[in-house]
Amino acid sequence: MTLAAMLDAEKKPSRKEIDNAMSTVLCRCGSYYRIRKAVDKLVEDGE
Amino acid sequence: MKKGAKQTRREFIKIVSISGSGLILASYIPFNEVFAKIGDDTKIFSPSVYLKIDSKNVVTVIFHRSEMGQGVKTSLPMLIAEELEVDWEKIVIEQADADKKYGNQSTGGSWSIRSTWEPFRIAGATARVMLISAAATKWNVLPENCYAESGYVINKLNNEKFSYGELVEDASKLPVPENVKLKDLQDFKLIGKRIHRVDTPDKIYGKAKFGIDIVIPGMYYAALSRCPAFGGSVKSFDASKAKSLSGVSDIVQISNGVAVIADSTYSAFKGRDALVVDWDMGPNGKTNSEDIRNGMLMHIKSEGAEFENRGDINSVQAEEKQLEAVYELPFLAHAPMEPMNCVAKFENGKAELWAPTQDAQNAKSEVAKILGLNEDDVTVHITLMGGAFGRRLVSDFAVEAAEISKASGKPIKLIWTRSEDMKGGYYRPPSMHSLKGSVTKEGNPFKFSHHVIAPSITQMRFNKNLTAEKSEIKGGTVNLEYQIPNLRITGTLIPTHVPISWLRAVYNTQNPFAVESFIDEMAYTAGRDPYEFRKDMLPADSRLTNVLNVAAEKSGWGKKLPKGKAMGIAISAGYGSFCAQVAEVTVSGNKLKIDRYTAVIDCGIVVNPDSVEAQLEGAIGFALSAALKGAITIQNGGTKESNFDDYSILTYDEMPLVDAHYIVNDYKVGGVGEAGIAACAPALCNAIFAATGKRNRRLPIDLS
Repeated sequence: MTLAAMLDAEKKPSRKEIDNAMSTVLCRCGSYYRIRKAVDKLVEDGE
Repeated sequence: MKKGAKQTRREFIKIVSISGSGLILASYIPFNEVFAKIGDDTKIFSPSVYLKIDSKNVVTVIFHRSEMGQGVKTSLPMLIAEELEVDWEKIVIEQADADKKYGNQSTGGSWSIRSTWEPFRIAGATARVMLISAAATKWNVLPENCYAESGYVINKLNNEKFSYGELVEDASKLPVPENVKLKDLQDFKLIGKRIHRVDTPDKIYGKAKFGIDIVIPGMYYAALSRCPAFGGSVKSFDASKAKSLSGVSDIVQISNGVAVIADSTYSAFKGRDALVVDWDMGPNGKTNSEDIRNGMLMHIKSEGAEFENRGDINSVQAEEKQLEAVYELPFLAHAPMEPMNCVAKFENGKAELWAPTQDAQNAKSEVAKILGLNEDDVTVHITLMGGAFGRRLVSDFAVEAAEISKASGKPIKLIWTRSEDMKGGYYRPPSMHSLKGSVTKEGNPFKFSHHVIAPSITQMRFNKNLTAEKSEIKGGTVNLEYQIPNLRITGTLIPTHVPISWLRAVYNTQNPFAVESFIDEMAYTAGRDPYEFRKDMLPADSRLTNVLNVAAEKSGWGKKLPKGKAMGIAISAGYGSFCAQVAEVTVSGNKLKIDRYTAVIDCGIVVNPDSVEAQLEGAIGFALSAALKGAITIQNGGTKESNFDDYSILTYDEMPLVDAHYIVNDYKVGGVGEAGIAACAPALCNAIFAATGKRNRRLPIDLS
């Protein structure tokens, strides 16, 4: 949801902007690294 | 060729279900489940409790453990599917309820694949052999002239084939063979492949039902008020204000506190908060963390009970350099994202539960006990769960829900708030570690002693007479592969009123932290590289040495790093697996950035490589949360922390890159869920020391 909102506002956010937005989303299973890879790909492939 | 031992025969139950005519059993175990659908012509072949094939050619694997996000709902069925020779995409996976016929359903100890590796493969292979046998008979050929593939048995001689569905009736009539031949490792088509988890799509689309999502007809919502101090009890309570709130229907007292039942979670929480309860805080109402700490501190100078002894810990070598250190770790909460919850319906002398539980049979027996029922009158459905990390092995939430349902006469859903969950106890116990060692002037290890002081979960929860040397607090302290000539490992148990239980990796969350940090301290005292120092102490042909070497190589250990950047290394063994991790950090002032972890695991045969990597990454995320932030503080007999603001966990931006590797070999399958935990924190602290010269002996880390 956070990601969707951020990408609505800014199609090519910087690493810092991504980190700031996503650091409010907590994950207890430690899959942050995979989420990051997915986010990076999404931003890279962005329309 | 595997021997089909007696225990596999126990697992084989053949059922032939003929439409309408009930059940014909040819079995070794009494079995009272009816597979046949009334009025349906479907016949079923079920040579094992874990597998059903029906005459419509549907293959169903029964998943008897708990899926908490670790992926076993995928990897366990893979074992059966591999040997059965059936298309993975076509398999139906059914979650089992709690039932002794499935054997052990407790999910923990990184044990699921290890415990099912052989029995599940035998189950799949046996079914395959029986289907081939049935087909061979139909064709009047020898079984050797047939083979199984993708859900068909094919006749080599004329390429005719039967689907498994067509063979179900005949196969059911066959005796169950023993000593079926399992596939050779190189013939695996499924095991060893990166298979997507079967629960992922529903979880992405929001269709997956976790315990907290369950809704049943006529269900109410319950919230429980518990004593703020562990070990306390209700003296009296005033429900008048609570009762007056809209939506609230009942107030009931149960063993653990006072429950409010309402028509929504909001009303239940509001009602619970409006209760005025006079608590008897119990014998530990004034106990604080400081008291518990002092309780451990007073044993720091004592010997402790002996776990392991080698050589002479009191011998001294000329010009040896001695060192000693005390390590300390706090209580930890599991804090899974989905808090404790359970749906319970007590009706007509029977109880039915929908529980996110890691130990469904325990939930069943505990509920039967508290309600005074026969276990046969209790049904426990296992739901998905949003993380567990060992917390859901305790059945307290199921017992509470069952009691509330019985006392109120209503089906209820009990949900704990985040605060209740954080304060709910059953924590990873705290510990203190006194380490002493020495290195020779040549830089070799000479002495090593470790005295661990901690409460024992087994003693506190199950066996008050347990002594230290028989207790599980020794896990991660003994049988180190390091060939140190003089070694003594001891331990002291301390009691605690705070409920404690198993948290992912249990004592491997703390003992290896002390050990691997102190080994590092010894290396520096000896003026030696921490990787080389470890390598020289390990047997050259050890699997542990191998992962150590691979981690050093893959991380680029030894390369010159810019100021403020450094690496730290640590190793661990457990769960039948071996792990080495290198942490790479950047420290500037008191700002720490964890750049990368190189994590290497040798877990023998790998079933699902994606799962292995995910478990390593996840373990690092989990262990870093504990190393950097996690601490439960006890005040006035209860817990101070209440949410993720005061019990913080790692955030997205803090998570390092993880370079995960697994060793390819065909050693016995090893456990993975917990194997990545132990080496994480010591690798980090060793890296911080390398970068700053500051040694962290207390977790969570203090960077100031």
